[in-house]
Amino acid sequence: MSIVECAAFPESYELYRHPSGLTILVNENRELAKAYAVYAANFGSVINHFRVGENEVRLPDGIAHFLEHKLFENEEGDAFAKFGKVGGNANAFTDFDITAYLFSCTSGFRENLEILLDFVKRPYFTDQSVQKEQGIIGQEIKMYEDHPGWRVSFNLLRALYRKNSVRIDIAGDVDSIAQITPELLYETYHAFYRPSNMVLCVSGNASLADVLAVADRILEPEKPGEPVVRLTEQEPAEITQSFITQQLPVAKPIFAIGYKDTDPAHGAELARRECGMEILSNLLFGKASRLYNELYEEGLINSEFGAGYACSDTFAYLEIEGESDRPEQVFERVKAEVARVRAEGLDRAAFERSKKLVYGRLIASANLPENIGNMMARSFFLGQRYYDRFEAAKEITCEEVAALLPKLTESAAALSTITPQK
Amino acid sequence: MKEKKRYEIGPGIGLTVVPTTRFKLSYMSANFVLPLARETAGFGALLPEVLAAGGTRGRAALEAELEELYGAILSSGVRKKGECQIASLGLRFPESRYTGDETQLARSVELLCGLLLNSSFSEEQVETEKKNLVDRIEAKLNDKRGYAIDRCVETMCADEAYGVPELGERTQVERITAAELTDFYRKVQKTVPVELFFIGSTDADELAQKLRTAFASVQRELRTFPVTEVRPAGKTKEKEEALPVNQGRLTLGFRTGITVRDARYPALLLFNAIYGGTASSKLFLNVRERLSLCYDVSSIQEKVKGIMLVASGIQPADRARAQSEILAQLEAMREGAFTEEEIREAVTIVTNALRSAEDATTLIEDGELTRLLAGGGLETGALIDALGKVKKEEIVAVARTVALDTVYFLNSSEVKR
Repeated sequence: MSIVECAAFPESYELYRHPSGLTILVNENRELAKAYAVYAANFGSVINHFRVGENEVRLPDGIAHFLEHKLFENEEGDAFAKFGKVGGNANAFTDFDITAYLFSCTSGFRENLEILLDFVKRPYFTDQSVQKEQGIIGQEIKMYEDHPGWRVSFNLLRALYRKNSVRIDIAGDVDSIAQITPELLYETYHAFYRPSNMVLCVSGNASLADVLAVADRILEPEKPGEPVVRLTEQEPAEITQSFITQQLPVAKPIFAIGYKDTDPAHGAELARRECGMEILSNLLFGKASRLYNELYEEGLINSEFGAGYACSDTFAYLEIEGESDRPEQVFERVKAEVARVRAEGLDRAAFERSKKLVYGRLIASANLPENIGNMMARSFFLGQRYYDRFEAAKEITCEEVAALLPKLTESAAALSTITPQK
Repeated sequence: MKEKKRYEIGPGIGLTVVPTTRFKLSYMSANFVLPLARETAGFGALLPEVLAAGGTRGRAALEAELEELYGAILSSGVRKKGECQIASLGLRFPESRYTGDETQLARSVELLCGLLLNSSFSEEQVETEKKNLVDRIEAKLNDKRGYAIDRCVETMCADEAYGVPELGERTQVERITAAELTDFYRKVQKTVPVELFFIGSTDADELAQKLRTAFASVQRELRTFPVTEVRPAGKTKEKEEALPVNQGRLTLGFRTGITVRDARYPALLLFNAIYGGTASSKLFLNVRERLSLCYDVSSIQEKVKGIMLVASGIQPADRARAQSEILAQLEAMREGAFTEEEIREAVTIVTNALRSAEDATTLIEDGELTRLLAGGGLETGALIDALGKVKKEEIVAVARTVALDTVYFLNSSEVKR
């Protein structure tokens, strides 16, 4: 067991390598009523091609998310019902590069954890249960098809990326999920749901001793097997298209502008990059920025305007979202502002303020045990300490952030819009 | 968490302080408790937006100040609670032990008070915020689940104050002038009850004294909270609308007549958990898991008005099946088709939800405000004790009280793939 300390404020978490091969991270906080646990696999929607030994497998779009749904069910029924009996509030989510199973509770932590570790280790898929889920997920997909904020972002990814599977919808589509079979689910499960490819993160009102009391009993050592090799296609620097649009029933056009970062960073360096890009993004497009206030006063945007940097090991992009009657004009103004700041340099006073904001917003995200647990898991898979980003936000310099400006390249920018369907 | 403290800051200005070191961010809010009414809803919704625009220093300067306060988050908006329109300004800011800045608390309180005490609005600011508000009113359409719930409530309570949209109507908002809004705010400052909250690390008495001084100049008349009318269900109303959507949204409106201060409230919470409030409820297990008709289906309780909504997203062709299953599960509840085991589970689930809410500053504030407006209701600890004593007959009695009032269906206007 080792202690991971934060240099920015007095806090720490424990890191424990379990004999099963699983890594366990615990951020104990006895002041909270709630304990939160997230059990995650380093496997998300972007992984759609891999090799185990000689065996090469291509996966249908949406299988990571489908597997997440199906794992909740086994011979004895639904795991939700078991959590219900001991008062746990359980859920799960699938993102580009992570699948996570989670619960929070204010009593009976060990009972809840036992249910979590137990159901994730016992996959059970039948033709009938797969078919039933196709109906449920079909409705989930349709719900997102009607969600303009979701559509505008996914369309943007299609415009920015040519090969990277981040361009594919997390849940897949009705046709791709129709190809999913119990056999394929088992194959995927055994490839990626191995203790060494997973992490268990706990935050709030529970201790490492609580966790081990259950984990030692439930977890089994990883069976030796051939390593899994993820197969990816090289993403070119070029984007697919600089404009993409769709019609949906919305009141006012909505837009997403993206800049593809063609040279993503890794590990602790990525945490620092993320922090630097958030500061830069706030300097350029934040609510105190020159551009935001000009556009706002001219009525080109409204308060639904924001920017942020999304990143992982294999992709990274800056996204600016908002509502506007003239999204093309906003796009032009954004590009012009980036060019102006590149020519004139960063305003040092504004940089200091943005740095404070980014640090404060990290503290805000750490105000909820759910966020702490999820961020610890994500950081672990990216080869980071959870506290890397907090420390970066205290240390980073104006010069470092200014050096990131060339990442916003006009040729790697795209505009996605959703316009009203009459 | 220490015991909460209540103060009277001025006539009709209440302050609730929950001193605690549980959180990394403190939360402070000011809430004007307006009667929800068609004639004033647009004014009530516009007011907090204009207050949040920064007064004479302007928006950009205000945002820069917020950045200096380590990205303090200023929120503005309205909530509907029973037949009250709550117009609020809130500020969440990191506590000094995380920023190392000892002036954080004092500066944050000062900033929020400054915004509240500004009562003359520029034409420009009012015009900008009107456009923003109109955009938000129109953008309700973008979230189909929320849109269908709003339309169901508007149909159900067409001749009640509760049916008034809390953001107001577009046509009214567009006509408001800066002079009218200034005049409205002067009246609000004088006559509308204000509830202030602070949740975080602070000396409660010191804070109360500071706020007393800050608001001393405001002339006040003491008024009480608006009263919410709780009605029984009438003849079932049906409404259908169509949009070019992929998924239909079925929303059923019921009257429970049970509010947070009612002795039957603990039984209502258990009824809701068993019927449709959780992922192990009857609606989830039957409409979703057994019949595979939907991804989302849930029941929600409004605690001050005494109504329940059941919302679900389905294939338009499945409408009749989904509706009859939702009602069949209610019928089963009325007949007592649930076990003592299910009741025990519901108690654990609801207890967990109530305890969890104490880990979020905004939920603590919302719960306190709900009890103030409803004029009573059990505090978390007492409510949890009461849950354990609810008998099955009481849950059955609640199920029999719940009556269908309105069926709203958002249909798909075009056939897609």
